[in-house]
Amino acid sequence: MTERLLVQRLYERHIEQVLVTVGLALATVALFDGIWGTDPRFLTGPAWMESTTRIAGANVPNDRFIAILGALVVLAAIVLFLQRTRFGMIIRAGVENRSMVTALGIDVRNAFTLVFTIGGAAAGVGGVLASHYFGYVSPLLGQTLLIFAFIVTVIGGLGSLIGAAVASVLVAVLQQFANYYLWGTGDLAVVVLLAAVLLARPSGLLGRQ
Amino acid sequence: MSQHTAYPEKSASGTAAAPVLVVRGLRAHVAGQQVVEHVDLEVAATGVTALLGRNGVGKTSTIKAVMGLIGREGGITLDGQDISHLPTHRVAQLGVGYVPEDREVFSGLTVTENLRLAERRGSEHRYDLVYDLFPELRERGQQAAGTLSGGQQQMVSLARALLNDNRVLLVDEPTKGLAPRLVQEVARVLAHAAEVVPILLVEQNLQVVRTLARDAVVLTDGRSVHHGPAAEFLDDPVATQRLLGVHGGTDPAGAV
Ligand SMILES: Nc1ncnc2c1ncn2[C@@H]1O[C@H](COP(=O)(O)OP(=O)(O)OP(=O)(O)O)[C@@H](O)[C@H]1O
Ligand SMILES: [Mg+2]
Repeated sequence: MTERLLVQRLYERHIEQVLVTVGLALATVALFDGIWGTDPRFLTGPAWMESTTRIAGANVPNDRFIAILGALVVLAAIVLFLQRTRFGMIIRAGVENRSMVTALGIDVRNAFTLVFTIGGAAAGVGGVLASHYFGYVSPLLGQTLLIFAFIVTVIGGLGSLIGAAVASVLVAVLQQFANYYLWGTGDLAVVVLLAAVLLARPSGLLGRQ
Repeated sequence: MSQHTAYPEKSASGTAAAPVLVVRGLRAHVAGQQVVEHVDLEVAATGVTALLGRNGVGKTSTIKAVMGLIGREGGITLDGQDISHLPTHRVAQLGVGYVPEDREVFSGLTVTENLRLAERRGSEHRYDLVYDLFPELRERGQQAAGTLSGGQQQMVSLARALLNDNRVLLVDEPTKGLAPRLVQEVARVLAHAAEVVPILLVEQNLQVVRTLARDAVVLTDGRSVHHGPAAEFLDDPVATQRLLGVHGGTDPAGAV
């Protein structure tokens, strides 16, 4: 719905798209705040997810495996969708040259609406996984994550799915190692990485030149 | 409006069949700027109709306006059906094939994917014809279209239009930037295609126009100012000099 009303007017204008969607996200948070307040709701998962497994001398909570698995499944599903289906082909072509796709007799708007829906579903899966990671849900939860999502997208390269996947692993590992070995400087390290990537490759790791 | 050249009652060859595409008083704009002022044209039901004029007179814009790719006003009918308010994908679905000036193949897709994307529902897909005309496209099926040479990209672009059962093709400068041998190749393909589907052709190479086109429409400053048999126009040194700035391509010096 959001896509039909607002984003469709802004195809080819990526910066405005981001501004509008982020603006809506902030407005939604404010709305939820007004209705339910921002107190975190704590939640507990199934017992198995609360326990840990020993791997290479470290105790890894089981819900992390679910999170990693979930992320991999979503990534694989999106890649397969883009590479193997006609819809995927329309989207790859439409990102490159939207008007030529319409000139072949294809209603690109339908295809892009579907993408937005899939994006929403993927974000929903991400939200559930994240809520288990944090152990609570709150409308404000998204804001910390949103900043990391931005950084990951920019480092990976705008418009590159694989770039985003690679960058998210890179950012997460760097942050954790810096937190553990460099006296909790994880967030700083991520920003340094962002700066370094932007200087060396302004279009991101796998972005178009 | 009555200032404009009267439209010939019959097409040059004398065929009685109604024109497939009729454009009346077309205006079009890009980025708030009027680029087509007043264009009348008819594409005959068979063969090639040439759309001629100097650089920047609005040939490409006229074609884009018919496709609905830029804002337009005026009458556009396909087989008598008004298509002047339809969005681009509907115009294409009704059987208008488009071969744009800069090929516009999808560089990130393979050659095969470019063709598969062009497959239109409700039309038969003439892969036999396409691979017969362009055997190279079968051999290079898995190659990314962006890595093809200019000539090969033009083949992909033409193949996308020839794949479907179209009512008319709009072909914009298909020989632009091609080596002489490839120009001949493209001309041969267009001649072959014109046997099954009428074509509106924008073309700077007047030798090619002479061999292919029966009728010609000439634009100046976004207006159609001449309609008539192509050969007659090209043989008129005063008219070609005035409207195209060149001779009509009879003498070798005129051929590009
Ligand atoms: N996107 C645009 N923004 C502004 N002006 C434009 C745009 N596209 C085309 N024009 C202008 O419209 C006019 C007609 O352009 P068009 O491309 O239709 O000409 P053409 O006859 O196809 O020329 P050529 O023979 O060089 O291909 C030109 O004066 C051009 O500068
Ligand atoms: Mg042009």
